[in-house]
Amino acid sequence: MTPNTFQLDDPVLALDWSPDGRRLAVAGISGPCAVVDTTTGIAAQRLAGHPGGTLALSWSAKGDLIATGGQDGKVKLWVADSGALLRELDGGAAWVEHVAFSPDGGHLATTAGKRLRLWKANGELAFEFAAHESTVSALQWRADGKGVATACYGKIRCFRIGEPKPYEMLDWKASLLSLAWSPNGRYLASSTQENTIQFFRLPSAGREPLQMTGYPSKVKNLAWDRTATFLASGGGEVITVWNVSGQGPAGSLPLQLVGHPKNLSALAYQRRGDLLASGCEAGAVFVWNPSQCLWPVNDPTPTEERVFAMRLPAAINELRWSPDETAIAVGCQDGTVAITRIAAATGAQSGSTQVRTST
Amino acid sequence: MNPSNPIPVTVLTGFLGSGKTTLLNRILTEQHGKRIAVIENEFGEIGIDNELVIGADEEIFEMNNGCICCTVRGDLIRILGNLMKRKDCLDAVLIETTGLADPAPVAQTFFVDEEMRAAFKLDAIVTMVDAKHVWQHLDISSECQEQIAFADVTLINKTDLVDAATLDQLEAKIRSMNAVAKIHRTQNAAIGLDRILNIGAFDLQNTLANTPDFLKPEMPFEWAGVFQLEAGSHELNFQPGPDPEMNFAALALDDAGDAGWEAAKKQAVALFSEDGGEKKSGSMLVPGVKLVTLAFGEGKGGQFKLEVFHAGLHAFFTQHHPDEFKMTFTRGGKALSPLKAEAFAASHTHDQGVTSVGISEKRAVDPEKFNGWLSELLRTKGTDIYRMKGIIHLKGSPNRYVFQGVHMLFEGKPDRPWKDSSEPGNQLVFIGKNLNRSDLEQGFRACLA
Repeated sequence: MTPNTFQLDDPVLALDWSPDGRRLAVAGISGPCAVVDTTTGIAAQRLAGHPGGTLALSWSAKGDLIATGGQDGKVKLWVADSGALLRELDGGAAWVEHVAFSPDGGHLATTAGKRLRLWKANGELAFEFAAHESTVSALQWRADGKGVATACYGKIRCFRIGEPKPYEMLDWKASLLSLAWSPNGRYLASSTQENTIQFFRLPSAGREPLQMTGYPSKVKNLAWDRTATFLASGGGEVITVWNVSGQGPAGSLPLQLVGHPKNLSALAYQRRGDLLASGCEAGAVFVWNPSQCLWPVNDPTPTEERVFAMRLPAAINELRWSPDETAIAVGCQDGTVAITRIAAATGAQSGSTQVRTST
Repeated sequence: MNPSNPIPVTVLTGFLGSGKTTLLNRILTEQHGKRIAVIENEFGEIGIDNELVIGADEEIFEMNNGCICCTVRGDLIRILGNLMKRKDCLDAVLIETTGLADPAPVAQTFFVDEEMRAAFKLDAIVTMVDAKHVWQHLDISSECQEQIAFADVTLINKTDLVDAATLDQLEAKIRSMNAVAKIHRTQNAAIGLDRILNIGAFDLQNTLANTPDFLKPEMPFEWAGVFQLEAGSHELNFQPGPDPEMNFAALALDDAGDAGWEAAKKQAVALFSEDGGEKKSGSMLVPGVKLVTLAFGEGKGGQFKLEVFHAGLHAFFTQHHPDEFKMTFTRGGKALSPLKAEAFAASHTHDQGVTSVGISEKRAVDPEKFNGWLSELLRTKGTDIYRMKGIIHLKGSPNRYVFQGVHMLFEGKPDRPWKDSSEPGNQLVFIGKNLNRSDLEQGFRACLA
């Protein structure tokens, strides 16, 4: 199946689907953004983005607004249908690195430097949290939309909306680079500068995190499956999938998905299905079904099971499942945006069929 | 990002007011048309409209990699991680540190983070000092010492604010701390950019390529001067200085040419190895083959008479630089100036501050012994060793082995073959604090095959 493609004149930094799956917002690293029709691959709107560079993008769950953050220190709210700039908000520091609408669309969380700000969907400031000790490196909403987590050097905080103080403070003396909050809200995983993943159980009650080590390079991507059983991670060329059920992941052997010729650069699990999509620096995009692989893993022999494969011309920077989870949108370093249907997706959701495509 | 063509990174350090912003503006003006990203940590007033001037908060953290002094700059990893994805590739990156910054975390960032290492190459650390004001920091500020110790290039800026003697003295002092840095004197930070950009100071191939003098023997005196003297009485006056006493020698000189000068220095080195006869303030001195110790007393200066019996050339040798005691030399109240003078790197540091230790040795070393010694040295002394570089003659290898390091981080590899049979030899230099020269020399010599 040939993907619909759209060419951005800039490396793709971020992308997000409209809730109805008909449009895709894409941000280029030097600033300009576009809203692309996913059926035609034609840009419906062009957004000016941010002078100096756009750093983050999020499409509201209600569908009406797109939020972007950039190197001008601003958060911008755009009207999705017209591309008009609705509001410009002060992010609080030079680089607005994270913007994320809550899953219910009621709030927008943004971070800039040490600042975490919470906005109402219309752009009114709802709350400014006390400054973090260092730059916020990651931001993620809890699946129920009632909480948000941040990571900075040495600390992860979980906030409940409406409360000024975090209800969880997780300490680990390291540069924490990412956050992956499990869909059931019970686990938080964070990758570190030292090629490890720290794995926290919530509530932490002061427990030390588990540490997953042995990665050949920094873990750039983490993804949870819908059941919060599998945590997929990309550090190096191999996707490592940990099973955290029961006593795991402590002492357990992870599943290893092999085939990417270069380091992993994007990972996304379906929200309702079992498929895992991955992209790497060589431009390869694969879709896997780890739940169909032999669990528990008794020996560390890597597996090569894939249900889909595609090769794009440049490194994959971003990858997102469509809201109905029948397609993925992929953004590349050369500006290519590809939207492709995954034939196996519908079937795999029921867990009954598995389609294999060789490269 | 093109991994085969990493982007050069220049680190600019120096105290507030040393002229970093002036230099940055100069670089951006002269290199216009090139895409240079500037990462600033102080609100310097960059007068050039450059969209790639990025303000950053220095976020320094320790790596949990078992190396106690391995700190990196998280903000640089984040910012450069973004910049390296841009398609309009950067030509260069300039990182300005805050005045009080230790340059180690910046340098280490480009050693330990694999992405930074792949996309960027550290080109050089350039340190600016204010010729007039640096004195107040040199001996007491560890940051100032670190900045000088880490430098590949030191710019002594604002030279118009001090006299030539002070500049000589400053240069000698800086040279004693860092024997391998290139030193340039500047006004208004005016310097040919080819001397600070793209100089490849961290290229292993260039290890010690341009630093032939660091192995120059150290002298037991910091200053020597040649005077043409009449017969009769002269006055030597000293103000209170850093020490209560100072060794001094005055030798008659046959010949003011290079040969005579070298012979006199050799003679003085021998004299300075003995104990000097103590002379209290007010004593009379006579030129001759004898070392004297001028005993000023704690917190005091001194006045001495120098009686010259035979008119002619004389060479004076002083243990410390005479400016440290504001030495004046007069005859009948009229000041006398030297026909020539030379400042030398201090051979010892009473303050246990920052020094360089160079080792030169022709004989081949045993690879295993050398490796063991260096590992142990870095493990135990890595926090005190700021920089090290070396070319090693490994027994049995037709190639030079070159290495460099920043604190405990080490990189080394076999390099080109030795040119001819006379070339093989070892040259090492360590820059750091509390370095013990004889321990280092003995340790290294124990590695000889």
